[in-house]
Amino acid sequence: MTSLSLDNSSFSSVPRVQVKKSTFSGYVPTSTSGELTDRSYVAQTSGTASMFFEGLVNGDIGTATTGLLNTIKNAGYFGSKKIFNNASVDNNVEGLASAKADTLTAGVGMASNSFQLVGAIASGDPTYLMSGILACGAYLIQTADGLREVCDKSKPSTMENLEKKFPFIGTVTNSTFGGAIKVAVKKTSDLVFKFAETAKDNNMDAAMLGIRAGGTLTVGVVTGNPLMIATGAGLSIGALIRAGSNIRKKYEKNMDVLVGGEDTEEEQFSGVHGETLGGHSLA
Amino acid sequence: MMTEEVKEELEIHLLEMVQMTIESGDSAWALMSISPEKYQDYKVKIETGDDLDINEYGRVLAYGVGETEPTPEENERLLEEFGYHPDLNMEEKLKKILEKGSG
Repeated sequence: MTSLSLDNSSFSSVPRVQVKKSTFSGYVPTSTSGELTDRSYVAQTSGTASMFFEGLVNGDIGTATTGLLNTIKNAGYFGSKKIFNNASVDNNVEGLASAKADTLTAGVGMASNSFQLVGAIASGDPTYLMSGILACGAYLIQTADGLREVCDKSKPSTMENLEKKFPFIGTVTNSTFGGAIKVAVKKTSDLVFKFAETAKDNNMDAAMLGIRAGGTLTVGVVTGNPLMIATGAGLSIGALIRAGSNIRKKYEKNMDVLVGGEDTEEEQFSGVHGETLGGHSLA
Repeated sequence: MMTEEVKEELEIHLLEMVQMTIESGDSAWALMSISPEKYQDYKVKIETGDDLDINEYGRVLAYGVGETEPTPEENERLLEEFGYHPDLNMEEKLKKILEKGSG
C-alpha cells in the first residue's frame, strides 16, 4: 500500500486529513541559481535595448552605442551558455554552463565599462564616472567569483585539465621555481576568490548594479523620459533577480556543507528544477 | 520597485514533513512546500487538531500512504529531489538539545 509519489495530483484529491505531527525541515527556493541568472539577463537585455532606442530617438549616438553593445553582451550570455552546454560532457551540468557564460559576460561587461570609465574620467562627468565605477566594481566581483565557481565545479580541475593537455605545464610547475610560482599564484587567487565570494554573499554586485539602475530610473522619472524609465526599470529588475540568485547560491553552498554531498548543488536540486516545483535564475 | 512576478521569483518556501491520518484511516506522510505567508495559519490550524485540507496551505511535493514516515530509500530520493534530509529536521534537533540540557 506504500507509495512514494512525486506527483501531487493524486494527493490533491484527498480532501481532508488529520495532522498528527508536522515538523519544519528546512527551506526550498522556488528557482535554481542558474534560472535566476537567466532571468536577470532577460531583464537586463530589455533594459539595455531601451537604452539603445532612447539614444536613437534622441539622436544621441553615445547612448545608442552603449545600449547596443550592452544588449549584444547581455543577449550573448544565452548564446555562450548554449555553446558551453554543448561543448563537452563535463559541461552538461546546468550550473557549470551558466557559471561559465555568466563569467564570460561579466568579463566582457568589465572590459567595456572600463573603456567608458576612462572616457568619463577624461570628460570629468561625475554622473558617468559614478556609473562606470559601480558597473566595473560589480562586474569585477562577478568575474572573479564566476572564475572561482567554474574552478570549483569543474571535475577534474581546470589546472589538472591543462596539465593533461599540455604536459610541459606539469614539468614547469613541478620544478622548484615553477612550484614557487604556483604557490604564489594560488595564494593570490585564493585571496581574490575569497574577496569575491564574500562580496557576492553580501550581495554587493547586485547592490552596485541596483544603485546605478535606480539612478537611471530616477533621472527618467524626473525628466519624464519613458525610454529612460524603461531602461532603469529593466536594469533594476535585473539587479533584484541577481540578488535573488546570490541568495540561492549561498543557500546551495550551506546545504552542501550541511548535507555533505559530493554532487554539485545544481545536481542535488535537479528535481526541483525540472519536475514538481516547476519554477526554477544583466548590463 | 518589486513587482509581484519578481517577488515570486525570489521566494523561498519552507519545507515541512507532515505525518497524518487520511480519511480512509490510513497513516500517511507528505513533504510540503509552504509559503512564508501561509505558514503561521498552517501551524495555528494543526494545533487545533481539526481535520484540514493541506493543499490549501501549500504544495505537496511528495507523499507516501500506508507509512508514517519515508523509508531510508525514499529519504534518499527526497534529498536528491528537494534537498530534504531528516538530519536537517530542526525542531527535532532543538528538542534533543533541550532534553540533553535538562537531563
